Amino acid sequence: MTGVGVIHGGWEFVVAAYTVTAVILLGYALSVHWRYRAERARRRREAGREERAR
Amino acid sequence: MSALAAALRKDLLLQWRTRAQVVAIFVFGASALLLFSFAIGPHAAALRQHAAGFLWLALLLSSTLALAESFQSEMEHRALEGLLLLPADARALYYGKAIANALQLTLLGVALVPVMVVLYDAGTARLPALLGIIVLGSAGLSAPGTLYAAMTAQARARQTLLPLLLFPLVVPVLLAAVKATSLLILGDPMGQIRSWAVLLVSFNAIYWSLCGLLFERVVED
Amino acid sequence: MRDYSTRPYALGGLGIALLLWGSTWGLLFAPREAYMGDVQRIMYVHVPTAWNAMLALTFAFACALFFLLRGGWEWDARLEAAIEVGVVLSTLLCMQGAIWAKPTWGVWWDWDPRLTTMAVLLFAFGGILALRQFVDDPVKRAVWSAVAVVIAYVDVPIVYFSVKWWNSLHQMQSSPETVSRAFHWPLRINAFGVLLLVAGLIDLRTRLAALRREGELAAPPVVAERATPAPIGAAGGTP
Repeated sequence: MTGVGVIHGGWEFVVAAYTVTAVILLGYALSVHWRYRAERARRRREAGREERAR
Repeated sequence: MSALAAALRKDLLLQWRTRAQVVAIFVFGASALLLFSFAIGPHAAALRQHAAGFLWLALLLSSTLALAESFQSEMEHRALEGLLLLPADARALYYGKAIANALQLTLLGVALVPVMVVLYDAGTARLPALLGIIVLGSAGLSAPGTLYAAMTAQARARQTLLPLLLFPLVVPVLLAAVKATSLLILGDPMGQIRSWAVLLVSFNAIYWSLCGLLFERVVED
Repeated sequence: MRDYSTRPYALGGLGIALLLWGSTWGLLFAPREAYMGDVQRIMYVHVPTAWNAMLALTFAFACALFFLLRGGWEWDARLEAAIEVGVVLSTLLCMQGAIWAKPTWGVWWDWDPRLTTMAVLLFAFGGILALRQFVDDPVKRAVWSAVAVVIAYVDVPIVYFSVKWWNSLHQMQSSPETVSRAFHWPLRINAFGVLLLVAGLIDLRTRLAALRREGELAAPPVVAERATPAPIGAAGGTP
């Protein structure tokens, strides 16, 4: 049914929505992963320091 | 009950002693009302239309100052720990402070009404109803506001944290108070004020009880 | 607390795989909707995000209650994770909502009650994240953010109803209430995809929080020889 009340095209919005979703979800996942690795590395360093202090 | 009366008396006394600050907060609210009109421009009809919104925004902004003030003396003189050592219930402390804050905000709101009437040509004949809405709205701001003020008084960046935490929470109060006040000013042919008043009463009922319960955890050591 | 585990990565990987499957199906093979055309395909990510945002925030509420009523640092760690993931999902939801609204209604924002409630929640929980940043004492931080989460979550239905009434005169029906069966499968697959990804994210973020807490609460080696190690209550006065 063409004409009034029907939206044509609009693929750029669909692409935008899916891109934003992917970027935010994957970006956040990477952020958590990197922060976790950094924290674990920091803990390993501190545990090593403690060992040497004893 | 007597613990509550004592706490309330203490806070009212504190507010009386620092009344110069309340005057300053009123001036802040009034100047906010003036500044809002510059955002719209000198269009009398549009200003009248939005007067209710401006009034409550001004009151909301003023409340952050007033609420932060309310714990100032406790923090300055380390009185908070002393108060908590007393046999009084933390709950009485909370309600005393929250009721005093609600009264102060009501006073501020009432004082801002003539400013609104003059600047926006926005008055109402239904004064008792307007007072009722101001009381309900002030109480709605005060209940969670007092709890958050107690928290943020002990944290860093307290001036930003209090509004940051409070504003999203009191969206229902803002919506209902603005709508109800607007209906009072512009007319209420379909009698909708009652539903907004009910919303305000419900919000107050929920948060006055919930915050009273939680206050003890917030100030414990 | 726990050693490195592959569980969060397995969950996340599986979630992403499901999302790729469901999204491909929804984008390329699902039928075009009668009135909204291809724009309606945004629904295949928007609705799953909405469900999971609410789920994450509800989980935060549960963790807050558990922490306040039973205690235990693991609940604070989960709380921190749930709040952060919830804020990320809410942000995403509002962005998707705006992108969906523009071609549909011509405006970026139309104060749809559901989306507006989500925006308010975004600010409320974002503020709680800020609160956590500005409180140094771990005990106070945990108690206060739990209290704030309880207060914010109780507000959700109130905010929703007040915005709904407020908007009722101007409301345009924003999202399709009924979804025809042809659209079900890609939606379900994506919903599970986001759920698994979110579960993995919360799991990993919890481990991060737990590690940080361990670091904060452990006494420095020099002090460990002496009596009480607790660095708690530093904001108070001397006894």
